[in-house]
Amino acid sequence: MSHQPFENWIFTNGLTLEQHKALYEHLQSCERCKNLQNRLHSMENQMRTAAIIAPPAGFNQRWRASFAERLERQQRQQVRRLFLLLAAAILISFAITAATLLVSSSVEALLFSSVKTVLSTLMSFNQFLLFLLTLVRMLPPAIPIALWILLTSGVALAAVVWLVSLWRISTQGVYIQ
Amino acid sequence: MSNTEAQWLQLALQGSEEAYAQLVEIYQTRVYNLCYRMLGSIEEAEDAAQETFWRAYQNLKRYDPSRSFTTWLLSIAAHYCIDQQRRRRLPLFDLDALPEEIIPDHSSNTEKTAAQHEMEHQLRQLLQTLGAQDRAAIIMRYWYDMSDEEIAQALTLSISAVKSRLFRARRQLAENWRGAQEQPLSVGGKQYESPAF
Repeated sequence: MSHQPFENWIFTNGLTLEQHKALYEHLQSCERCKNLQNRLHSMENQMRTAAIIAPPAGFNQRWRASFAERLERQQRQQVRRLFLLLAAAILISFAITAATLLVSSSVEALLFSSVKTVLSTLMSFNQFLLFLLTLVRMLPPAIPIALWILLTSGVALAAVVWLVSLWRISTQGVYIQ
Repeated sequence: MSNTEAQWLQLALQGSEEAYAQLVEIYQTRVYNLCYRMLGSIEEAEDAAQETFWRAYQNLKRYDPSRSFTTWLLSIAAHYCIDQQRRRRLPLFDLDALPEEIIPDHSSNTEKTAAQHEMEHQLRQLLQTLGAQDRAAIIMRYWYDMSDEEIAQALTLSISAVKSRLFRARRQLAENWRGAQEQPLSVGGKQYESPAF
């Protein structure tokens, strides 16, 4: 006896009415296909009535704990990535600048201009310090004590805020929404 | 989805961690059951379910509210479990360890719980015989009543691929199914060979 296409039809959804009739007639005379269909129905019934397994108690508490841990780990990774990115960007720009300078001028000229730049920077810094010193000598009589206190407090506060921000970023990372 | 669930989801989409924790509470059983049926071990199912919720949280912005949230979550869980199965290659089903919910309770009908235990054992062995994607499709069909379209969407397959996977898997399961102390049926020649040969 040929079991095809009936054997396939047993597992096919959406048979036509004629196919249903033909399958029904075949199942009346074929024990093997009947047995196969019974197995399918029994198996399907068992699966449909099988329990939905719930997680062990406290899943949500474990989720909250692991969530906080994962979030912290992710934030640390973000900070690390940010610093690495910055370092890479600095290195790349330094390399590009160095390469461009080396191509456009000789080593001697580069050294000469570097020394010149360093010296002029140092001189400018020195001049700035002298300017500040003159200001400090001249200003106190002109500025009331209250304003001095306000200014120094402001600078101290800004320094504290800056330090705290640095500490928070390095320990807790940056949360990006 | 109930109104409360929709509200939690809306808040979670706006970035509320507490609302997301509420969603975890609501969907934990559905996700855990899929992971457990896929992996067959309590510990692995727990890890997979936790990972699923974490991945879902990270990708919450990509969630399309016009789709079912359950289907979306189950899709993440199924993909993760399929990936785990591929990595370990040899499935390590913990056949003796059963979750608390189905461990025989000696205060109740012992025979009934023993039969339940046996049936659960058989179900897990049966599912183990399927490939990871076929197993996911079968679980979604029988435990979650998902349509071919929903399964296709969840497993990133075409509808015809889902139909053919379900056909093949159901046939394989029926042939291996031992109802009341029956021996596995051998149809035709080899187990997976077409009966036309």
